[in-house]
Amino acid sequence: MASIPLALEYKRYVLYLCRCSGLVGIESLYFCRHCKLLRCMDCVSVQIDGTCISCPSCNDSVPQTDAKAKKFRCTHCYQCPMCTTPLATRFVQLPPPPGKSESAPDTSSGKTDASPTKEGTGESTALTPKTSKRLSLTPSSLKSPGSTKMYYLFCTSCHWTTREVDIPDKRSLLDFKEKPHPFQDRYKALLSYYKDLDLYERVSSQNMSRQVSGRKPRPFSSLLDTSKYKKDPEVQRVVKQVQSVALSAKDPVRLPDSYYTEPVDVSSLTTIQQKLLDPSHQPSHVKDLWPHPLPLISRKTIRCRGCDHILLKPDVNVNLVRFKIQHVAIQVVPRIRLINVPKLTLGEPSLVPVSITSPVSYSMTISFNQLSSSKKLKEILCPAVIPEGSFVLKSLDDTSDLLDDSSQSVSLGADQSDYVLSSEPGRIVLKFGAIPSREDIDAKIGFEVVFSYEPLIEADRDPGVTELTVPVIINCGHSFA
Amino acid sequence: MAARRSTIRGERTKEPKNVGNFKIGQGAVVCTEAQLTGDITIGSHTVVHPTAVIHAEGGPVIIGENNHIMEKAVIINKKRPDGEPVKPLVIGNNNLFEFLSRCESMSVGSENIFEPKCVVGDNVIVSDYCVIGSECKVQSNETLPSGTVISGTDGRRWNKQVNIKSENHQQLEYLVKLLPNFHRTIKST
Ligand SMILES: [Zn+2]
Ligand SMILES: [Zn+2]
Ligand SMILES: [Zn+2]
Ligand SMILES: [Zn+2]
Repeated sequence: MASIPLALEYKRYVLYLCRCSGLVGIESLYFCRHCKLLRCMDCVSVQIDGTCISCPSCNDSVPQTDAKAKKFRCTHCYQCPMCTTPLATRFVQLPPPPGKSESAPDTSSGKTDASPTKEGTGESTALTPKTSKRLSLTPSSLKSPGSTKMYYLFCTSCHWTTREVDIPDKRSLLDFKEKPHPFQDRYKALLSYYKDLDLYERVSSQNMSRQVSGRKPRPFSSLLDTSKYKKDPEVQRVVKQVQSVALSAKDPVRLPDSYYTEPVDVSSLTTIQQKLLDPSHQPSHVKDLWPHPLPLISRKTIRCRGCDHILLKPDVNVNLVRFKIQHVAIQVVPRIRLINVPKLTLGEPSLVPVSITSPVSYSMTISFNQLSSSKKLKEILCPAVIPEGSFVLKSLDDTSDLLDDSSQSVSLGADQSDYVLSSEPGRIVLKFGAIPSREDIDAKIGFEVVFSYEPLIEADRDPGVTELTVPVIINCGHSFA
Repeated sequence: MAARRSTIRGERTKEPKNVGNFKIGQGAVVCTEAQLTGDITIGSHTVVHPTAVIHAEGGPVIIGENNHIMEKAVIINKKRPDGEPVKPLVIGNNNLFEFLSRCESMSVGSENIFEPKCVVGDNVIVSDYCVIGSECKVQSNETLPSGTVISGTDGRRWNKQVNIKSENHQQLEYLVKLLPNFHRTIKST
């Protein structure tokens, strides 16, 4: 329940209230056609398919054991340390060495002299797996002996490049490496120390059990006596080894003077997210960023928690983004949107224009109820004015644009046209109202949407369930006195 | 909805009126479907796509060479309040104005990229090698230093140290050849 006020502070204006009292956007709601219930991410069970781990950029699928060894990261795709977008590849055509161009003079040599580095165009290929592999495995220097192609990584979103942090251009994509870990030696030494210790303890406990079985009981105090271990040359060797790589605590880290004297340039510092992307280095300056190997992804199957039917199942093929089974709320539930930011006056009913779009192919009857909400919700909601009666949304027809309007418009009862701002097939804009009661928080209205439901498959038809209800909460923004 | 229908029901015969004084450089392509008003100078090899908007309200607009102004991109030299002197809006070379970008800037340097749906207000001076990310808005009173990148949903800024020249020359050359085959172009007046 604590999540409700928090979720409303996000810049999402329309949120749907799940049965589990979680507030989500419509895109993260699932619809189980067996239970006829809407479920959010918190009330479905998620099954992770560990056998199918792949890279989201190059689509290479990696066996589970390999993935673990590679720390669940792709070996030849990198993500932008600035914005986490997968990095694209670009190349620079270097001119042939002067000796060679003289031996084989051609028309292009004059051109390359004029512009010493010619940028490769359109070769942002990291997103297409085949070409990126081709680039990485066969550098074109082999094809044309005169010129060499030098590669660098480029972010198409924020225009970060590997040149930004003085990573020299490489001859092949495989030459790009992860930044070496600063404490790598220490980790290795510690690891070998603990392995040695483990072995030592195992051997000594075996010896002890032999002694016990040889009916020569030893006093327990000898077990607690560590001085014996310390004298052991093997232990002393290990202790020395660890001490040699241990960090000296003599010099505490002191901030440089520039921290106190120079003004802070926020644009050159990294954000917490950027720091935590690389936990081993945690760069605090933009200059220290380094491309990260791209994390691998596994596929998820989502099941209904009530009936265990599959709600979402991705295709077996890694390269495909389509889903084999897909039961999402967006196919059934009308989509509610705020048309514009309403002008709200404190204590007075203010107009909130809301558009309702029907996603279904049958004509949908829709009506609204006041929200029978919990205490906690009532605290943050303000009174709402809700259109009365039911509205019929005709199915959206692609040819409707060419036909006359009159036959296609929404059929309205008496007094209902007051609520309608505009209507067209499949979509209606209704006048809602909000009476802001507090100035310190955004005005939010809540109401229940009751809409008719007809299953696509005849087997799912249930005479008991012909309409569904979903509570909606709209953040109307700040009100002014 | 009304707007959508009008485009479908054939108001296409009405082409936007391009009123003004245009100087168009050699090798530049400016489609008649673009909306141009006022005193506009366009440098050589600049491509202005159909439905792009260039308004010279508060003074002339001078666009340099090799600029690429895509569909529905808006460049406005805004009308200033009475009494203020007329100032030209000078745009440098090799800039890219992407789909639905909106530039009301006081002046624009070279090698800048205006990504889709970005907005640059009329008190901003854009220097060189800047990137205004999609949906990012800059409406303060400032000069963007060279290499400023604004991107992401939070409009985060950082400064590029390494500037790479734009690589759209080939695309522009191709468009200069292709566009006149399918669109009428505005000639210099
Ligand atoms: Zn839920
Ligand atoms: Zn990959
Ligand atoms: Zn990036
Ligand atoms: Zn179910």
